Amino acid sequence: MAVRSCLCRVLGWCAGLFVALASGAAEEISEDDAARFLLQASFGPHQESILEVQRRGYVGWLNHQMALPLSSVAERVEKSYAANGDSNGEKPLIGLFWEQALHGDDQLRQRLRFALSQIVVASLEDPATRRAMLAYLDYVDMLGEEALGNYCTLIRRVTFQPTMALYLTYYENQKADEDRGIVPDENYAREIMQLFTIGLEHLALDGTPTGEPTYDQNDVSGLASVFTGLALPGENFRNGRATVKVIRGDLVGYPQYHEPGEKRFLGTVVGPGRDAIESVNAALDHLLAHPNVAPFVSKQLIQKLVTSNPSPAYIERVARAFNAGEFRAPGDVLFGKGQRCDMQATTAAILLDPEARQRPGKDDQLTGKVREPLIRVIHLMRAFGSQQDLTVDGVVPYANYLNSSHDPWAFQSPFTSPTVFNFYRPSYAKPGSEVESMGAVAPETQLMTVSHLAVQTTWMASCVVSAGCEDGGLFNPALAPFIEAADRPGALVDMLDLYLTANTLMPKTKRRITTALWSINVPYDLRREEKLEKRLSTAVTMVVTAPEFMVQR
Amino acid sequence: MSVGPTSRRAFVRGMGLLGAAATGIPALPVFAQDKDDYRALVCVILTGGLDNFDCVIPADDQGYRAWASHRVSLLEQYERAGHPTRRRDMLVALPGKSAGGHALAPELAPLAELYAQGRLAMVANVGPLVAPTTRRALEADQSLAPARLASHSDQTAIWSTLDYEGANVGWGGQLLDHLETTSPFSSMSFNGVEAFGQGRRSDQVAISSGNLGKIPGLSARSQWQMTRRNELLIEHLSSKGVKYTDMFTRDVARQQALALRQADFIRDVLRNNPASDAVRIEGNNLSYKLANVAAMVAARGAHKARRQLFVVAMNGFDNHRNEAEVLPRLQMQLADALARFDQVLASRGEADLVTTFTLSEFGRTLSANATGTDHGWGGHHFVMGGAVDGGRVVGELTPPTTDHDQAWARRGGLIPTLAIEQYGAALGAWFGVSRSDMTQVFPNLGRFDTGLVEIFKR
Repeated sequence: MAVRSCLCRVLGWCAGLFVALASGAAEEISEDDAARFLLQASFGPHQESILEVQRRGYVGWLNHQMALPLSSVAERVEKSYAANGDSNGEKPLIGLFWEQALHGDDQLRQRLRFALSQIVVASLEDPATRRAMLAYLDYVDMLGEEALGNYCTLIRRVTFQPTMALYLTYYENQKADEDRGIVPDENYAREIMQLFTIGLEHLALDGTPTGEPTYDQNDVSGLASVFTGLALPGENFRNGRATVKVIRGDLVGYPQYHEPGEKRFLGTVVGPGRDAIESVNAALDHLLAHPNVAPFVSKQLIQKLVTSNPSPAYIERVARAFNAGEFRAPGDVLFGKGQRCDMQATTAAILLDPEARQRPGKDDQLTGKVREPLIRVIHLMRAFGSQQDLTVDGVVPYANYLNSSHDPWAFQSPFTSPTVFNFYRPSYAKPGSEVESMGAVAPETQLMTVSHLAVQTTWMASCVVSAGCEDGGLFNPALAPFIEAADRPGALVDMLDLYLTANTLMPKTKRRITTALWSINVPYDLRREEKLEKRLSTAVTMVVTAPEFMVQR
Repeated sequence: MSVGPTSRRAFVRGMGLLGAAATGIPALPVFAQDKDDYRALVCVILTGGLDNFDCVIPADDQGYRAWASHRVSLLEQYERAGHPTRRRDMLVALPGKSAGGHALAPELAPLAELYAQGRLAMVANVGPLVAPTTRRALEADQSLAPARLASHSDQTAIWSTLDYEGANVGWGGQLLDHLETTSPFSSMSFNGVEAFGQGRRSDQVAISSGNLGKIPGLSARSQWQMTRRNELLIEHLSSKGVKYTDMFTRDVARQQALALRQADFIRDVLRNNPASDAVRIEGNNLSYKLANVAAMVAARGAHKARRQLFVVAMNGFDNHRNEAEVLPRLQMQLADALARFDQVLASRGEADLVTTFTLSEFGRTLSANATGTDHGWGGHHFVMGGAVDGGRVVGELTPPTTDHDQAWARRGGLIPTLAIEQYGAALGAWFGVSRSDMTQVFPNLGRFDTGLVEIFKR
């Protein structure tokens, strides 16, 4: 196993190099552009990753990333449970998320996994999913695998998995029984259509809604009766969970609880005479073949990585790659396996598109997005992060520090969306905002509460320099190069500008920060180090509170 | 938002610097003198769909037996769980004729007491309606059923905005739009961004959680030792003199500058506020949020809002299973927090100024699942305050069967007899919104008889 993964790395690297050469990686990438690419494609740039993108080229970097193997959260967290004598609990998973985000190599997969966790949502906020952590770990691994696999496969796998069944309440869902007043639970039928696959309105391939609804209540009821008779294998159906030893694995069908008759939805008929598994598969075949899936999913992925208001042409280019399952990049490099819903093809199409790669021009108001709180924190920490190998055994680091409810991290802890509708909706525009008046959206601003803006911003400003970002001191920012640069304020501001905003601070902002740094006198005496630190803390405070940092363009 | 000590030493504590001088918003609350013209509406959102049938229960022999027959396995779970609080002799009767022999679950006893004291009214069977309707009318004409019933997100949106999921402007915020709102604190949510409280003009101050931190270095000491660095930092935080070239950055800059000023003010209001301290009940999350409301009410002389709308919320009501384990605890928290809030307001002479009401996306089905209940339609709601003409049920409580005129085909859920518009307009009228403005907030108001919903003393 070890040999294979090692080989994969080597091959991936070779492939990357080859591609870089083939595509004439001579194409010079400026460090600004490399940083900007990494804001979109990873959890944030630092000095080394910028150099790596410059060396490999965009295509080469993507190829390299796509060849990196999945590091399973289930395996790792189970080791943590064992080391802790614990058998459950979400902290090791959340801790591992941060560890991987800050120190992991497979940045593209992780960034996509995080995006998918916000589209195909099953939240740990719900006690039902939280109590079944082993299944939840499998769900996260599915997101991770299919992040560079296949979106439609993800929907299929997640549907047969206990986490989603518990979260959207089709676990032990029963066929209608008029005498006992039972109707099938409609939760999953509704949300799989509205949120995971087709959305509310028919869409053109370029994402433009036609205004015609995709489904009505009858479709919901019809599909709801498909998702009946599903539970883990156990002695009986209805109180099955009591007899299931470990909540994990695939759901099975219980014929006597599955709706035997015709199930009509979206112009198709499922059954009669099929068992639960066959019915669900047939229904998913039909649903996932819907022409909305490509533009619906493509647009949301673009919004998560690149820009809140992609042009219809951009959406269409990505949707075509999604449907074709392949994307031909400049230099005749092919991404994807040729199967519809291929995520490598889709991802390459998103990140290599001219609309993603070109910096917005002067009159371009629509390109860009507001960074969500979690991304802001990770971008900041990675800029200062020391290189550190991921732990492979024992208790997951970070796990004991994160995710308490009074903690600034908790503004947007991964996997803990308040509802299936994610932390924010893809169509949100704040009433009265300029974005709204332009008929555009800024989804992440739904999280911009006074608390977020005031608390998290100020907390971030203090976290890197004054105390480390958590009390255990486990995150050790590599401050030396920054402290050194603090002797020359202009150089320090340039460094932060590059890593944190890909050089988009306004000249006036930069001048003000530089002036503030000069106003802190650095003498050649015992207080020198302290004063340099004060310059650094002031610089970080001012950059992370700059609106230019809140926005990614 | 807690006013307790921060858990992180990284926070720098101290007096606000971005207060009076920097912003024009007064830094310290001045407790109100003029109590005549201040009113606050406090909306308590019960997220998930409150089981009306497990709150309001028929207590007469026949009614109780009919009710229990729809909830056999759920009642068994109450027995198994060791708190058999749905037995008939445990229920707390609501006095008076309008309650029609109904009782409240014993966990809601503090609300029953407020009811008995005339400080709380119940509005029965409210929900979204196209027009007044009945079971028979619905069977004949499906267009009378609002779309997307029983969907959490859509019904939450409809209750808040009278529109589908995705609508961002609520009727609470729109009520404020029609009133004098010069204060930046007119609409406040202690549950993050809540569409209900967002108006077209009235912007919502959305607080999520956590302490409102401080920018390091801006401390009391630096206030009298104003350094060049701090001057520049303050300029920076308001993006002074920077002309951004795109809409995202301009919006963020505006919101951020405002948020930092608001946070400074709120932090001062909440610090050592006696009203807020009195409302807090240890371990009761809703009480913490209501404590913040009480503090803002007490600080009305400082923020100068003459009308305020608050949103607080409580989660966990969507109990498809394990209802007997979950709901009683929530009911206790809800009732304790509301009663304490009322008590503190009364002791401060503010009870008449504040009306608190509940909102929940739907009621639930009369017929239970194994150990829970499913999404219904109409539900019962509580309205509390000194101005409320309490001790009454407004509207009608229907029999606990699945075959009466207002029983929905979906397992005895309720077809509302009162529309959200009627409930909202009654609250809006108390708030001071004129009848003509009200029809702008509630465009369909004309389809319903507002005279049916009299909640307040005349």
